[in-house]
Order: sequence, then C-alpha cells, then structure tokens
Amino acid sequence: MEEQTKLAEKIVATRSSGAAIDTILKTDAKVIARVTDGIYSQPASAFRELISNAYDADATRVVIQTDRPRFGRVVVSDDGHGMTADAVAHLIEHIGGSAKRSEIGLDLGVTGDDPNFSPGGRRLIGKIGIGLFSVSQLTQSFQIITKVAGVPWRTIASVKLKQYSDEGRPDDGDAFEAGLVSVWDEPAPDRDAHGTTIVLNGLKPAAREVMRSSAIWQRVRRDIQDPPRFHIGVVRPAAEYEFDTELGGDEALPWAPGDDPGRAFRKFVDAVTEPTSSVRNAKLGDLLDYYLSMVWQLSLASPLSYVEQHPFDDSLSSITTHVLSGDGPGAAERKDLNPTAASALGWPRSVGAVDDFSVLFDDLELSRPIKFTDLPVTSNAVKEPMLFVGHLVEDFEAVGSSRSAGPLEFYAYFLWTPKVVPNDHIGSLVRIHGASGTGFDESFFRYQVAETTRLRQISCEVFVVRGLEGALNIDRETYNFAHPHVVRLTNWLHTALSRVIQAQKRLASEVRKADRADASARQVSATESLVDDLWAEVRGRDADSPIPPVRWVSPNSGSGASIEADAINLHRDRVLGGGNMVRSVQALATERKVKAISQMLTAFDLLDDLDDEEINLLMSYIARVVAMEV
Amino acid sequence: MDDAGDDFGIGLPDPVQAVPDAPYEHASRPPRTKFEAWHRPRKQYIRETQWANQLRALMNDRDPTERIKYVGLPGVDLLDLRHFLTSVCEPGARGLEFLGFDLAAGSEGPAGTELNLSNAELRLHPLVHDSSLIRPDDVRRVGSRRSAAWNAVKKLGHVDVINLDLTTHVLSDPPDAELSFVDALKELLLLQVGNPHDWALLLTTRVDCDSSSSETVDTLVDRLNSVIESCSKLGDEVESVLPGFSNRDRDWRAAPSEFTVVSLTAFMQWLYSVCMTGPVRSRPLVVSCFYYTSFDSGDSAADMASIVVRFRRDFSGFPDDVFGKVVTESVGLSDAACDAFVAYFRRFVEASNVDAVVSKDEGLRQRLTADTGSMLEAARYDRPAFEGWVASFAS
Repeated sequence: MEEQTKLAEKIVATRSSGAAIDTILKTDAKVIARVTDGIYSQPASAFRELISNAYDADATRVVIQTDRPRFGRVVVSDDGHGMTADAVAHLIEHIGGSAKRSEIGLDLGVTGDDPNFSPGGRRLIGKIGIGLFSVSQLTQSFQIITKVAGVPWRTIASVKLKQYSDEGRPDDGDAFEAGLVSVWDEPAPDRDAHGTTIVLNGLKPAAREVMRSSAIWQRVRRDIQDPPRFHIGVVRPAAEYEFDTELGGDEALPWAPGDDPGRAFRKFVDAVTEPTSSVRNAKLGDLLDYYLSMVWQLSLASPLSYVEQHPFDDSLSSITTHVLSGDGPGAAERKDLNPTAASALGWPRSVGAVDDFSVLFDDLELSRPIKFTDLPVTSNAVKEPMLFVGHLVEDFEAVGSSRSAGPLEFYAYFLWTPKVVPNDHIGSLVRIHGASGTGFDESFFRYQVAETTRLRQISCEVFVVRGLEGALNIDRETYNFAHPHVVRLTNWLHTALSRVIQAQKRLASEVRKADRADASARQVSATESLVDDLWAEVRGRDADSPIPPVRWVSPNSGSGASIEADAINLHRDRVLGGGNMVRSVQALATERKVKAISQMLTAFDLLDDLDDEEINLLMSYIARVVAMEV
Repeated sequence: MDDAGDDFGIGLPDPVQAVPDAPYEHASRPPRTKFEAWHRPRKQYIRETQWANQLRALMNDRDPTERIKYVGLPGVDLLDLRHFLTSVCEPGARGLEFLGFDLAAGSEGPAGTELNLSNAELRLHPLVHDSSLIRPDDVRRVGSRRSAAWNAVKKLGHVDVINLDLTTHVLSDPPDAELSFVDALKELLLLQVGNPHDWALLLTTRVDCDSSSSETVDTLVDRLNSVIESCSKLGDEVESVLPGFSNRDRDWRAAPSEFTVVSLTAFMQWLYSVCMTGPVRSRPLVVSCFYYTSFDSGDSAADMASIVVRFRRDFSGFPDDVFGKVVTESVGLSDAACDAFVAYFRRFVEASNVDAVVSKDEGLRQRLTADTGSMLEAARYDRPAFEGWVASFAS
C-alpha cells in the first residue's frame, strides 16, 4: 500500500516536472507472472476482457479499431469513468489483485459503496488486475490513456511486458519482474471528459497471423479448402499493406460500405443464420474467417442486447412455449406466455441482457447474434420451434454460505428447433451478470444421456443473476466443476434437458402418428424401404430425426425460402453427369440408389462434417461405382 | 515482409520471427517544448484564412446534422483537426469524421505516444464520430487499389475535405515509383469525382526544383506545352509573364518563382484531365494559393505552397446517345478547359507570400501567435516555451 501511495505521488509530481516515472511491474507469484504472459487461449479473450473492463467502468460505449487485415495496431476506447493516478498506481503495484470487489475499490473510484458494483451501479463482471493484462495475448507493448471527469489531467502508462521464462524465476515469495512501466500525467483542458483508451502497439507476429486467418489462407493457397464465404480479405505474402486479390479478393462481407454499424451487424447475422441451398452444416469455422468468427464470439460473450428481442421479452408468435416448473425442474408444462414470458411469469425485463452498453468493432455495432424468428425449416415432423423457460433460486439454507458460497439464482431457456444455425449455437451458454467467458458448450455441462440427435437441436442460455462467479477459474473461460454452484446448475440443467427432450418426444410422436397414417397409402420403393430400415436400426423407431430429403440441384434451380435446412443438396450434373440428356432407366435407377446411399450415410452422421463441395465429390464417385455394369 | 507462415505451412510464424523486435526498455514521454515549422504563426494564418474559411463555405448550405468527412495527414498532434473542431464544427455543433494516415501510429517512440494521446483526446470530443481513425499507413499506398489504405478511403465514401499537408513535393516521386503522391492523389480524385457536394483539396507542397522529380515535372510540362498549342488564351497569358516559354526558349527552371508557377500550372492541368475526362466529372477550381519559405531555407525564395482546390460536380459530360445529347469535352481544347488553365496560371502568378503578409502586420502576427499558443496549450505544449521559440520568427 505504501509503495502504491508513493507511486501515485510521483505520478502527480510529473505534472510539473515534464518527466515520466519509470518503474517495474512486479508480481509476487509465478501464477500471476504467467497471467502477464498469457493464460488465454485466443486473441479474442483479450478483446473480451477489455470490453468487460469498459463495462465495469460504467462506459456506455466502447470502440475497438483495428487496421485490418494487417493488424499492426489495435485501439480500444471507452467513455467510462476512467482511472485516477491512484488507481493506475494500484494497477501497477498489484497485477492480478483487482481493486474491484475489495474495500479499496471505493477509494480508487472503481467500485461503488458495495465493492461488487461499479460506481454507476452495474454489477461487476471483470477483474481488471488480470483482465487488462490479457492483452499480453496480443502484444508485449501497450499504453493506457485514462481520464476521470472534473480534473485537468490525464494519466498515461506505457507498459512493456517481459516474456515469461521458467529460467531464473525467483523462489516463492520473491518479486518477479513482469515488465516495465513509464507513467505520467498530462494536462487536459477537456476537464469534463472521461474515459480510457488502450493502445496495443506492435501486435505479436503470432497474434497477427491468427487474426489474419493465415492458417485458413495457407490451405486455400494449397487448394485444400475454399475461401471462407465471408472474410476481411487476405494480405499479400510479400506486401502486407495490400490485399492478395488473386487469392481471396479484397473483402467478402455481407454488409455494404457505409452501412450504419447496427444495420451492418444485422446483415451479418442474417447472412450467417439464413441457410442457403449450398450450406448443409452452417458452421462458423466454414463460413467465416478468424476475424469474423472472433467478432461473432465477442458478440455472444459481451454484455449486450439481442439483435432482435430478448426471448423473454418477445411475443414469440411462431414458437410453442413451455414452463419448466419446480426446483428440479419437475415438469415441462405447455403454457402460452402472453404477451411475453417475462410479463406472464413476473420476471424482470431483459434479464441477463444490457441495454445501456454498446460495442463498436470496426464496421459493426455488436449485439447478441441469436434470433427467435425466421428459424430454419427442416423435414422434421415437428416444424414449430419449442421454447422452454425456467427459473431457479437456491439459497442453500441447509448448508450455510461458508460451504455453499451463498445463494444461486438464474433464469434459463432451452430452444428446441429442428436445425440449430449456426451449428456453433448448439449447447448451453452461461451468462453471469450478462457476460460469458465462453461460447456454447456442446456437451451441456457433460450431459451423459445418449440423445445425440435431439441435443443437436437444442440451444440454451442460462442467465445467472446471483452466485456462480466464484466458480469461474482465473481465465473466466472454465469452471471449477466441484463448486456447489456448478454442481447445482449442472443438476438443474441436466434435469431440465431431460424434461425438454421428453416433451419434444411426446409432441413428435403425436405428429409422426398422423404422418404415418398419411404415408401408409403411399407406395414405398425397395430402396426407400431399405433406408427406412437402416434408420430405424441406427436411430430407433421413435427417433425424431427424420430421414433428410435429397434435393437434386441443377444450375437453373434458384434458392428459395422454403429450402429445408437438413436437405442433402446434390448437384445433378456434378454427381450423375449427363447434363440435360433424357435420362435412361439405368440413369434413373442410379439416381435412386445414390439418393438412398446418401441418406444411409447421414444415418451415421457421416456427411455432417463435410461441406457441400465434399459431399458432391463423394457422391459423384459413389454414383460412378453404382452405374458400373456388373 | 515475408509471409512468416510459408515455411511452416500451418499459418503460424517462424518461431524466431515470432519474437517481437522492439527492445525491452522504458517508453519516453513526448516532449512539450519541441516545436515544428507548422507551429509558426503563418501556418495558423493558412489554417484560418484558407482552410477553415473554405470548410465553412463548403458546409454552409449543408444540413447541420451532416458531419464533415476528412481524409488527410493531420500530424501526430492532430493540430489541424483540433482547429477544424474549434473553428468550424463547434460553432454549429457539426460532427467530424476523419481518416488520417501516419506511420507513427502503432510505433513505440514519442511520436507514436503523442499520436495515441492526441487521438484519445479527440475521440472523447462529443463531435468526433466513433469511426474516426488514424491508420498506421503511408498515404501513398492509396495509389494502389489492392491496398488496405485505398479500401479504407473507399469505405469512407465521399468526403468534404482531403488535406495533403506534405513536407515534401507532391511531384517528388518519379513516374515509375512504386509509391507516389501523384498516384495516391489520382485514386483519391477518382473516388471523389462523383461526389454530389462541393469538396476541397487542401494541398501543402514543396514547390522548389530540387525537391521534385525532374522526370515527373518534365512529363507534366510537356503536356502543358501541347495544351498551349491548342489554347491560344493560355499561350498568350503565359507568354505575357514568361516571354519565350511557348517557343521553349526560356529556362523556366532557373528562376524558382518561374519553376513554381510552371510546375503548379502543369500539375493542375493534369489534375483537371483526371477529373474532367471520364463520364463522371468534377470541375477543379483553385480558390486560393499562398507561398512561403520553408523553415530551413532562411530568407531564400519561397519553396512551399498551400493551395486550396475546390471541386464541383460537373454533369455536362455524361454520355446518353439515346435520350440525351452527348456532351464530351476534349480536355485541353474546350473553351472551359482553356479558361480553367488560364485561371490556374493567373492564380499561381498572383499568389501572395504569406511570410510577407504576416511579417508586415505586427497586430496580425501577435493574434496568430496567441491563437497558435492557445491551440498548442490545448494540445499540452508548454505555452511559455512556445512564446519564447516563436519570438524569433517574423511569420
């Protein structure tokens, strides 16, 4: 504390001296030293942490600017409360020891009276001491330029991080030099201005390569894969200021230059979530380059509002709604939630979403890229999406807070839809006070029941309003699975999942009975019968996942709104050859057999990891084998 | 820079290249007492008399909610943008969106820090648009349509002002140079030529012979000579000022003032042809020109020019051979083109020397010094130190 006070005094002295204070970033443990070296797995984590810090600083807007596609420099600016010289001194002297959630947070102006809340009353989501140094994922050199309202000074800290090494590290208890800092105050005539800018200079080559999607473009160069459908362009190998126009063009973006950032983002979401005739498995990794995928993941993780409506505040006219009742939850009851789930159930509006915070990332104003209208249509018996909503309050009264870590409260929904688009939204996503450190967890917290098909049709969000935060590991991306809150959440989630699946099965069974009655009059060919039998054997008689239709595509067939998202799209000319020639009996037989084989392959999900180009290539060779004379 | 991923084939850099090359050392605080030529009163005169006045005139009839769009070289202290904000934007609460180019952006030295700091200050100004940005890039890269720099300008759309505040000659690069201001300017003009609103090019350039590429200047002057052959008005005008020029008997390179007038007129003739040859056209008009002597040239001849070119969309040349009359001007031959070239020449002949204007009027010099001092103070410079430094300059 004494060191911190001395440093703050020295910073103040720079106002008149014109000099800077040169000091050393010290950490007192290896684990903290490693924080400055990068515990985060991807550059996206650094952006997520900086956004969280801006949110915690009561910013209404954070602007992230890159010089894409080169990525030499990144600037993150917010209009939050900024930091005083004292707060900057604290940051330098206590890496990893956040002033947030501590008594001194109030004195430093980074928290309100309650250390869990910002001065402006927001529930804190980040840990600035660690989060800020997540930028080490991107660079070893950055600057903090910060100002609080009502003072004629700005504080500047220029940080140079040291590469962490096991060699020569001090024994436990000794200080570790994590980097160098030069810090000073500059006069600021804009007295009322406030906010913080973080400038990341000289991005690490490895981070630049990741953000440039170099691995993807290497594969494109070698004809191993096609360019992503949407991308920010690729720099030329020998001239990083220029696009490699021969390889990928300058940019392929779903929005237009000059589009308002909010409109541009809506176009982006529409382009990713609306399946087209050429995409069977819409995965972000196939559709987007790293940068766009990263922006998508950030928009999922950040405390923002939804691109359309929050599911609890939407009228959801085309969705069947159910309530997960009881603490178990004990049942999934069909119930119309009019006019909205929140009003019908007496829940708060916009739970887990934030309306007074926006993130501008280059051309885009981010919002949660999750839609509850215009969802994809498939051949599934149940056409209408189903929404299941639930709420849990667990006080752990029986065990006391010292063992339970206090109460846990959350709201949640499960959206069952015949096809989740993009695939990456399959699973559960947990938000604590509006923010998430991860994308969707495909395993639903390690759900063990073999319901592969239905689990791939469910997307779930959990909005935690009390508790769970203590169960987050230091990277804020993983959980301590032994923590009582995680155990309780997992228990509720798995029980709720089984209720959701049971309810969906019931409805699907009813619909299927009606469908079978209609189908009984129809003549079934021998190959169709074989496909039916295989599907029944692999998936079970009650399997809800239907045999996907095969759609023969010709160059003249356009894409329509009624395209089923699970259809297998086969290009007739490519797969069967022959152009528009009159088809012989043998050709028609080949067509039937190829169709049947493709459906049999999907019974084992063998086509799921292939893109349409690969599926058509495979089926064209199978067709040639089938067509051979015996 | 080589693609670091080539050898490894998986898009990751070579481990040796992955080590950041910047040294592990403390950063330096930008100096507050180091002043540059653009801090002198005469530059403030240019900012006020040429730039701000022109910008006000451009935006006068525009909707107050329309923001000013700027592309340029604002320098690391962003003084020009600060001046636009206080003198043009703030009085009418008009927004400003800028795209700047500066290689100091992203660098770790004092210039990079100064730029970061100035940028952070301006970004908190309520009239500065969120997407405003200083790119760590050489503006000459705009000359290539494959460049990210060109793409950034294109994305900004039509702008109201392009400020090329150069410390070198706009014609300093030879015609075959990989990077050149002329190529960049051409691309900027082609992106701007369809701008439905009037807009301005603010060009500050060296105008002395030594700073220019003789190949580039000769190419332009040859073209000017061929224009003179078919434009007698221009020929007469040039002959009256520079006797013997039309017959190629005059060594116009020998006298700095003649070199300046001839090369600038030839430059403007080229610029006119770029903007007035295609079906979509903008007519360039030189509305203002000042000369001055660069900081390191002492009392020698003027070697700098500050030119304001105003562009107005010209709808006469759009071809429609079905419903409209095709109006095509042959550049250099039409009366309008001829008149424009004559006007350019006169403007460059008659342009004032701003050093003389400021040094002769002590009251003006003091006011400009005070205005500059206020602006520099707002940009965190040491005002007393500035006043000491500026006292030694007459302009």
